[in-house]
Amino acid sequence: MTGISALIIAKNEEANIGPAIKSLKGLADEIIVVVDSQSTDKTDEVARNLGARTFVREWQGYGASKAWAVKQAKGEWILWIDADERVTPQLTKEVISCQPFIAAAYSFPRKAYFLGRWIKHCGWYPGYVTRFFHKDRGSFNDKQVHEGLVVSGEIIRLNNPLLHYTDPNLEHYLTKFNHYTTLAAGQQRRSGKQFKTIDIILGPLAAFVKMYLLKLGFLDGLEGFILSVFSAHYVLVKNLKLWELESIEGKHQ
Amino acid sequence: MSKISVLIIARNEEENIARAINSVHGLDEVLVLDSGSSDDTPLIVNKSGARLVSTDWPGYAGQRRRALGLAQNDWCLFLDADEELDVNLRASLLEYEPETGVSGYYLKRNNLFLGRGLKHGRWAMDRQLRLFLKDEASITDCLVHEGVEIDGGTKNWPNGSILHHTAPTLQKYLEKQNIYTTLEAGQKAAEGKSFSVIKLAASPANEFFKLYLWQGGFRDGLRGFALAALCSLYKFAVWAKIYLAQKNAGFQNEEGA
Repeated sequence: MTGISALIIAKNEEANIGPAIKSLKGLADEIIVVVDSQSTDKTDEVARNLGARTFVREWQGYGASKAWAVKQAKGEWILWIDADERVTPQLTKEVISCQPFIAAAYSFPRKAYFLGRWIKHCGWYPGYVTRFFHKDRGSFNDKQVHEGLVVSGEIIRLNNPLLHYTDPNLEHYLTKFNHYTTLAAGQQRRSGKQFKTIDIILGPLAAFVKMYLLKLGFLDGLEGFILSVFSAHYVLVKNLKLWELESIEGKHQ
Repeated sequence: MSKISVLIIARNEEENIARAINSVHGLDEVLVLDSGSSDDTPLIVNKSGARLVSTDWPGYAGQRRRALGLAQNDWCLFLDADEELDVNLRASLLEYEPETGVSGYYLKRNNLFLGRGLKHGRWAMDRQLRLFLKDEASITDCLVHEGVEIDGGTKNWPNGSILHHTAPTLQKYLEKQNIYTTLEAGQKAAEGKSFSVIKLAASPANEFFKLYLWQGGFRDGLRGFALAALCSLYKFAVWAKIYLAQKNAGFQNEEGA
């Protein structure tokens, strides 16, 4: 064994963290859970009782938190999943069968569920995610919302999917929607992007057309429709929040 | 001068409550019903000299009825924690004498959206029945937008307005919208309204065109557009939540069968 360390970063995930950790048991030699210190539920306790190494830490952004977690890992290979993701026994078998690992990283297709339905279109599937990498060959960049892994070297695609259960509760989903659009607007502001009126008209429309029509979201039933509409609103709200940030700085009258 | 009880119901309103209480300074009684705030709301209320009553949460209508029961004066004024009286309204209330045959007054309310009032549409200046004789009032039951009904005569109050700080930021606005859409979805389900794709698709579109074109929202510029779009999202979220609740209930029935 080359040593595989699995990482999960979590905040208020007491319901998800148990099944996530259990799904890693067959594959990882150690499981590290970094709990955001703003967490108010039993995430930490549940993780510890299942044998994970847990750390409670002040939030420093996704990229920085993950980079810190990688430093704690004893294994040479890092497997990172979110609390709402699961590794299946089939994926575990496939990863193990790849040994000795010759690539810098491996990516998996991801089967994502929205309101309980597997979304096969909308640009969601296969939606390869690179989540398994040698720790000397991967690093996290610092974008605040969809922080990415930067890999130097070859990435090999595996066949078996990682499962992703997005929040089945729309109130939670919209709370996250609100949070992410605020982060994204701040990020755009810092990167120097300026608000344009056209972005709140054509932007959402384009997002809907792309997801629902071009990416065949209409084949995903009502869930595909709801997801496409929320995605359009995501673009709208993100741009409105950018306008708001500019207003606070006195740019609009 | 007749005596007035100002009634405020609040929970976790530390950012707003001081402004609301200061704006009614000089009126005879200020009563704040706090339903389990975890922030500094109770401290701020105590410091302000207003009367604090800590309670549970029986719903909006129940809490308003409870407030009326606790009020010491016959005339009551409902104020929300995110509202304040402007200078003219407060001054006129301080000198007010009730007219015979009038049991309730409609107060003007200026809804501020992202820091400024809108001139057109449903959110433009409206009037709310807020000042009334408690013995003639009944609170109608509605989970979200409960109202006051008056037996006797009513009139418009001539001076000033309530400033409604409904959405200091888009983030706050969407937080509230998320809570209200969950409540409204539950209410519609309780009334036996069932989901249909037509409602999911048509009611948001209808809402947008109504607010933005028909009611003249476009004349409020970007704020008008933003509000119409967010109200449209509101309708969509309500029906999406109803859909999900019915779908989950269906799963449970299948499992039980």
